[in-house]
Amino acid sequence: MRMNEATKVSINLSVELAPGHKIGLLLTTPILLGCGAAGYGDAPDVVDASALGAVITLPLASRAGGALPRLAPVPGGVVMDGGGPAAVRAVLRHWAERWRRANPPVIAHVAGDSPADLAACAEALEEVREVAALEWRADSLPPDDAASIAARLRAASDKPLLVQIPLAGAPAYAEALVGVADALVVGAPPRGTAWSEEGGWVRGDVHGAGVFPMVLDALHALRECPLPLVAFGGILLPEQAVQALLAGACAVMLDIAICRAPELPSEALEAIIREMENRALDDVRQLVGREAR
Amino acid sequence: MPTRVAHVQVAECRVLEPGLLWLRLRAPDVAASLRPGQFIAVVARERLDPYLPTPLFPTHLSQDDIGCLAQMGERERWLATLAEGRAVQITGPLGNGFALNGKGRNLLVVSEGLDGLPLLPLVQEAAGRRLEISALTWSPFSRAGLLPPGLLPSSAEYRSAVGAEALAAALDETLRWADAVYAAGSPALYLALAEAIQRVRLRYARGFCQVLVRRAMACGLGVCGQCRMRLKRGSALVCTDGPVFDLRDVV
Ligand SMILES: Cc1cc2nc3c(=O)[nH]c(=O)nc-3n(C[C@H](O)[C@H](O)[C@H](O)COP(=O)(O)OP(=O)(O)OC[C@H]3O[C@@H](n4cnc5c(N)ncnc54)[C@H](O)[C@@H]3O)c2cc1C
Ligand code: FES
Repeated sequence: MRMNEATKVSINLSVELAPGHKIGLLLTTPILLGCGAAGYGDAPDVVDASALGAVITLPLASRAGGALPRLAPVPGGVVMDGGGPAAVRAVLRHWAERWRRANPPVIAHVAGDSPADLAACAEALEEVREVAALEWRADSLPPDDAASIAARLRAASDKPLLVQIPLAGAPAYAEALVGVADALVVGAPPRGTAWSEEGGWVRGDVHGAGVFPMVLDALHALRECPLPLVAFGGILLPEQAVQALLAGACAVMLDIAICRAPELPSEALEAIIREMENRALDDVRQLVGREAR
Repeated sequence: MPTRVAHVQVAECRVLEPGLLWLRLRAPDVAASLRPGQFIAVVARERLDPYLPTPLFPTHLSQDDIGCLAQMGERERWLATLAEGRAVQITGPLGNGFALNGKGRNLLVVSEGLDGLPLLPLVQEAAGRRLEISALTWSPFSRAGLLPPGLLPSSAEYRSAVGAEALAAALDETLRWADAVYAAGSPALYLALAEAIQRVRLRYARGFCQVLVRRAMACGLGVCGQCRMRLKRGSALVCTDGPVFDLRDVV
């Protein structure tokens, strides 16, 4: 609950991302900092953490991946190969103590080369109370395979599970994941290739302004989906956070763009509050999907 | 000093020669807290290109202004289009800078051509403290890219070397004299430095040689993991654990 300073009316900004889960995932705001924008669960100091509902860690895996990250700027965006994931036990040694004091809650992004690796990573996090939920990226797996791996993760962990689904063909993934995932992140960054200044090709995630229209498109395609949706990708402007909610997302996840706009989380939250005032709404959930036609 | 975001004005912007930019920003909130070797990240939020902030190493520091003499690669080219009076967003200070070793009086500063520009504020600070400075600029192939002597304080001794053999000879000569070494360049330079130190000195203590490491960065804030590099033991983030490292951790 927050007080609108102008009208002195209290407004509810909290969203539940795992309504079907026995513990749930209740966030105080609908703004998340995504994997790659919040380190291992630490929002950068220049970001106002009070605007955030949750932060998502960089990828964790049962074993460390050896590859170093690489990046290549492209006009209007960047192609990033994040390198190998960090070993979950090493990260727990260094970060678990900070998570204890963390506000907002931490969602662990889990990765792995095989379903068994993924399950092992989820199991390592199972007893870590500070981890509020898990996030996993379905990548380019076909929908049914993605659902069966998500089910394996589910069996390995009692925590709520968010699954990042590809933007292309999102409805097929959503259909396969109903009953398995608690919420869907729409979506996994598109893949791209760019020539690096340091030489050689960089193959990886595309982040940039061009991604957001694809996210909105996928949200519209998912308007019948019963799972909570989190919009992720290409959000650079506060009003885009509002648009994502109106198109059906319960929450928005900001990415590396926060380093060009560290004020974006608080600006996005302010834009959402303004929109609620303009529409005379006192609960952010009433904004969700209002223009999803 | 905590990192902050500031909306600042361009006070001067000039291309001095092809590939070399002079940019001065009026940024009192950040300038006063910058240490030599620390950096800032510059972005114009209304421009989509470049998408990510450009890391810049200040070369001339004052109470109110941040002066950057920078080589222009792909990522810096847009800075040359900034008009005086234009507003940009900067984040800084970022990273850990050089530490002037309290006990040492004799400083050897080694730069690989213009990669050594970020060493300039350190040299200025050392000159202000009346320390002895020997500035060695090296280029693997030709004299063309050497750091010009005019950029250094007149009290600093200027040396130059071209090619691997000349570098080894110059290092052998100066390392005996030096109490501390500061360097900025490529891994090849750092390897040559480590070899020379082991050859010339009986002790090669931690803290004797600090080097500046550059890697492509995305956030500059220690959150994206893109600048991770391998150290001799484990790994580190260049933007927050560095960019200044102890040579013993790097080579
Ligand atoms: C934004 C951010 C990104 C980071 N990214 C990484 C990262 O990608 N990898 C990393 O090691 N640390 C990373 N760190 C540091 C991380 O939080 C831990 O401190 C680190 O994983 C622990 O490794 P260690 O060197 O203390 O050795 P240990 O905990 O003993 O780890 C054992 C060994 O595994 C290696 N290792 C661990 N994870 C990886 C990995 N993902 N890829 C390759 N080798 C690995 C380490 O280098 C080390 O040699 C990052 C920190 C931040 C803030
Ligand atoms: S550039 Fe993002 S962690 Fe260093």
